[in-house]
Amino acid sequence: MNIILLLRVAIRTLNKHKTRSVLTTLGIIIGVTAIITVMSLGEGAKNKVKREIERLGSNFIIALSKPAKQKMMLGKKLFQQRTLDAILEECEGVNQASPAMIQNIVVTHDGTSHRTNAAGVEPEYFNITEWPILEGDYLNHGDIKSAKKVALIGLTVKRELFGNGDVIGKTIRIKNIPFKVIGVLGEKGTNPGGQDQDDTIFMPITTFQRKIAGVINKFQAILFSAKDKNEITKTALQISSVIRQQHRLKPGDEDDFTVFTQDDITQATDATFAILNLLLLAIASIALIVGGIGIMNIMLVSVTERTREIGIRMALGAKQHHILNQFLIEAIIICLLGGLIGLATGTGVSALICKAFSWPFFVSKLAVAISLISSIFIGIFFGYYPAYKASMLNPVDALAER
Amino acid sequence: MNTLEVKDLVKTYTMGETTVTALKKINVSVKAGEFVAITGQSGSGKSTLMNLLGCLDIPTSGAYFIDGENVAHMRNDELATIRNKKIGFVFQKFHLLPDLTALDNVALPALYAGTNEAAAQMRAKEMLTMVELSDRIHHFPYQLSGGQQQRVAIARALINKPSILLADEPTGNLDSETGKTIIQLFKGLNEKQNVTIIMVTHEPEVAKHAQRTITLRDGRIVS
Repeated sequence: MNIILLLRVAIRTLNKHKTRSVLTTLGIIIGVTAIITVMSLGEGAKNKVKREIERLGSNFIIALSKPAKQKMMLGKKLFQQRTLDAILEECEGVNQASPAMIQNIVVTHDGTSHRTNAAGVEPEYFNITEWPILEGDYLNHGDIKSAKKVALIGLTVKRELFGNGDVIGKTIRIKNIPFKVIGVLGEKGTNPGGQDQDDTIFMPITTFQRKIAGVINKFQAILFSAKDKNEITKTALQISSVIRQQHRLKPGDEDDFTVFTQDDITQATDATFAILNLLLLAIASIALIVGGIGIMNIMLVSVTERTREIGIRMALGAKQHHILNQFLIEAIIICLLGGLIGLATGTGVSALICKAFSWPFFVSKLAVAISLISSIFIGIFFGYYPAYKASMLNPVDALAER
Repeated sequence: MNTLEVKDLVKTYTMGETTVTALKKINVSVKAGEFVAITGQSGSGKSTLMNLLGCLDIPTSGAYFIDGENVAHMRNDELATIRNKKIGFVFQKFHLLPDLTALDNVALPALYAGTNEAAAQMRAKEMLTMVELSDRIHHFPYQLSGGQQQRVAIARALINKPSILLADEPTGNLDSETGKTIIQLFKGLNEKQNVTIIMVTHEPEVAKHAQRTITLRDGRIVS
């Protein structure tokens, strides 16, 4: 009995009991659909976040003036200008740097008010973040030096305050202080934290310090770009060690600041998604296992129903492995069929969901491989016991059935 | 050498705490080309003997030789091979597989023997022609009359050229006219093709067509 003949016999049998076969397959279809959907959506969400991380800029390093464990946005101890000067002097890997401060404020224009973030930066900020400009001009070093009351606004701010009207040269007020709008930034989208980056007003750091924060030569954060993509981690370590010197930390003292790179963010999100995916996969696998138990159940019924057929086949010379293979192949076909249908429906479902959330849509090859291999495995695992039971029947008893 | 030889064959069944001895030291030998009937009333042990002769069951003790080979202590798969190659079964209820055509039913033992499909079907066609069913090869069992079904079963029993054709009440489910044609077919096979036939029946009318009759009573041969 070769395999093609066994396949034909199995397909004929399944075809004869169509309703039962379809219902049995359903369990596997649902399981595989769940696995494919979960894995594809996981992949889609991960790629969405990855894109957002890439949008932060390239070769990107950030230093925050708060320890890693502290949850508050603002550290009590801010960075000093001399710390930044020292970093620029000592760290060869740093290409550009910009100090940054940020605060939630209310901006008004012509009776319209809007709650948004004001950020104080230097011109290099826009190089580091690779942030394009839509109209008008970027900040320049002259604006910084003389602490001019000028502002660059994000697209969301423009929409909220001006709608479709002209923007350049208009005056907006923050804390009742007038600022002249000199430019509108291009669209940046959300950051990995889900915040709309276009909902920001940028002004010279010096202006921010004096008018908004009320400090001099201090700031919450510093952004850097590294000269060499491959030296990013090394550069981040150099920056850390200069800040430790400046903060007069002794060996063994914990950092009172945080430095991280784009790679760190990527790795952290990768780790988060890996855990999340594993969890979802585990839940989806339960569906598949339940489907497998359904198959075992039906195969056991099938063996009981076909006891006489098994007896006849044994009388005609079928060996145990002939009977075992016959039932095992039926179970595997059911599972593989369910796996293929589940693959199709899972792909469809995840395509729809990704479209609804406007996530990038991927069907991971891993998911396809996992679901097909696990279908076959489920077929063998849950089909084996009924098939074995069939093969161990005593020919006399089997023939006497009914 | 005898085609079939049974020596001191004993078969006991244990049901709970009681042990029933269905066959008590049976001795039988059948030569090639013989046509033997086994008769007896129900409970005489003839079905048990039939199952043992057909290698469907294992004796409690004693020896059983087919073509000089002792099969009494063979394992399941070895017995499957013996059933496949040396024994052809004809049952009272025909026992055709309902999902298979006449042709596929007849070809099945050849496929289990490892013959390729084309050769098995070719041979199955010859066998069906022999039992005069060449115009029914693609019919399913439910499309055939009882007599036709039994002839398909006979074709199936003979496809692997077995040493013995074992028939268990082959006319039991047929009307007497059809039964007669089946017995005539057996006689023809026995006389013209030298097929060795052992037929279990409780009807003396049927048994008398055999060359010799073995009568069982209470697990012993009485004549």
